[in-house]
Amino acid sequence: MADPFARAGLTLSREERARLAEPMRLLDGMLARLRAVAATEEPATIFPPPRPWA
Amino acid sequence: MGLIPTIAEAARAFAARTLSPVELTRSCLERVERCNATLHAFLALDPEGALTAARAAEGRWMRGEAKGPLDGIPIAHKDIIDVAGFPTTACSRVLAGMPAAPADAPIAARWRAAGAVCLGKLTTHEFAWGGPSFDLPTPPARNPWNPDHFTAGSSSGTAAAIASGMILGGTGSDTGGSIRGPAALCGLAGIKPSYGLVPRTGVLPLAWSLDHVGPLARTAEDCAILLSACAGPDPSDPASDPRPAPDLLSGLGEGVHGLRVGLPHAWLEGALPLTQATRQAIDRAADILRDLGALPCRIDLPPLQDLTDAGMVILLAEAFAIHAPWLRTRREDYGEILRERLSLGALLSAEDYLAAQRRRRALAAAIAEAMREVDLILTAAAVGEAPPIAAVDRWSGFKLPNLLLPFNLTGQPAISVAAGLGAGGLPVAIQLAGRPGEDALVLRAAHAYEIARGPLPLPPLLAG
Repeated sequence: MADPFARAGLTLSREERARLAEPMRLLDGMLARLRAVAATEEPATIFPPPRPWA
Repeated sequence: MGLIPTIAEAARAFAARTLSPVELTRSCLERVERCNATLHAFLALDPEGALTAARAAEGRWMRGEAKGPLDGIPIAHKDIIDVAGFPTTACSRVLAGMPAAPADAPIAARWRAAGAVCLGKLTTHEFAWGGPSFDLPTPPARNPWNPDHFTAGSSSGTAAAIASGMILGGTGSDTGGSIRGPAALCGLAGIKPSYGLVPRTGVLPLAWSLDHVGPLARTAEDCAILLSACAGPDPSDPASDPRPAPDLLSGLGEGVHGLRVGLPHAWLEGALPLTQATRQAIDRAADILRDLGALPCRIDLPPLQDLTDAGMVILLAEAFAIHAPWLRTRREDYGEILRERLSLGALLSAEDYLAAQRRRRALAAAIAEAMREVDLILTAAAVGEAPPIAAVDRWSGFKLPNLLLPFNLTGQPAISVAAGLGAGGLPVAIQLAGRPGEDALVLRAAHAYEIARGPLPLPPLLAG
């Protein structure tokens, strides 16, 4: 399914989609900058080692 | 003591029996009566409950059994925080008709146990993110310095109520600046504590890994009193720091001699359109701190835009995860601003979210490294004075770097402190941030700065 809003189960009106055009462009810019540096930071620690259980 | 006392002044007056908690509560309720129709700070009020609590506090002060400096102090809570007897609505139709909360959130319970007098619930941007919105069940709060102007958000009602003297302190939440922003634009102090210092149990979440709760008040000293009364472990909040809360009060007057204060020049030069008054406020703050014996210096921090990118993606992804079920089934119950902001979350992938979290760790490590050379970071808390509420750009958070969000990413304590008035007669503000866990140092420096800065005038609304 190409439409990410529909894939997420959201129904947006034509007006809402038009209003979101600029913020979508701004978000794309943020994501592009993030992706440009994301792969250089290893190791990733998504789940820190657990503390000993009581 | 001025027309509206600080918490510390009121407590001293209670002890000296020159002011009573009942008198103070009545005067606050009178200001609610006089100003709330203009400022829209309170959503729900409990005058009888407040006066009952004030009478009990008065009895304790008279018997020499006061619980501490918060005993008898009028406060109120942002309406994303559970307070027994009030529904928690987040100013949203999504939660309209909810029953009253059966119990206080820990932050409310701890203030109540310290004797604070709860007047009621305060306006927030919808679910602490959507505002200023004019299509919610209640209108947005207005700035007491000029009711045509914005309070910032999302703890908008809290800031408006304190600045207009309806209460002496109140709760806020801060996911990307929602305590510090309103404090800055309304001429107050507001601290985002270290991540985990104040439990978030009973508080509606916006973004789990960025959410903090804490106090706003007129001064850093009052923030220290309020934070001291609500900090500490809570087993119900997995992010709560299990260590006992630090002593935030006894060293408050020790000054800043010898403290190294870093000014991140790249954040102050070109990253944002800071007004002349804000630039002068930062220079003046550095001069004041130097005169007090601190050591201001330039430091290099990661670019503000990089921090904002990571923070906004994390905020959006986590907020979307929280709201997606309602967004699918009750879309029209949201105000337009929050509905559209949250919808952008559908555009994020797991790859995006994890990239942002990994970037966050690298950026936080870079700030930690920079703070090996300094004890505090001094920056602006807002670009300038509050804009007219009609001129607020709903997408500015995606357009401009954010001065406050970096410390939500790192979990550092950060306080916004009023720094005077700008060209338009509204407040400008500075921000001081410390290392995680060093909330006491941040409060101490802010307190020293405020004393040297001198008192601020009251908003014109109260002067007449």
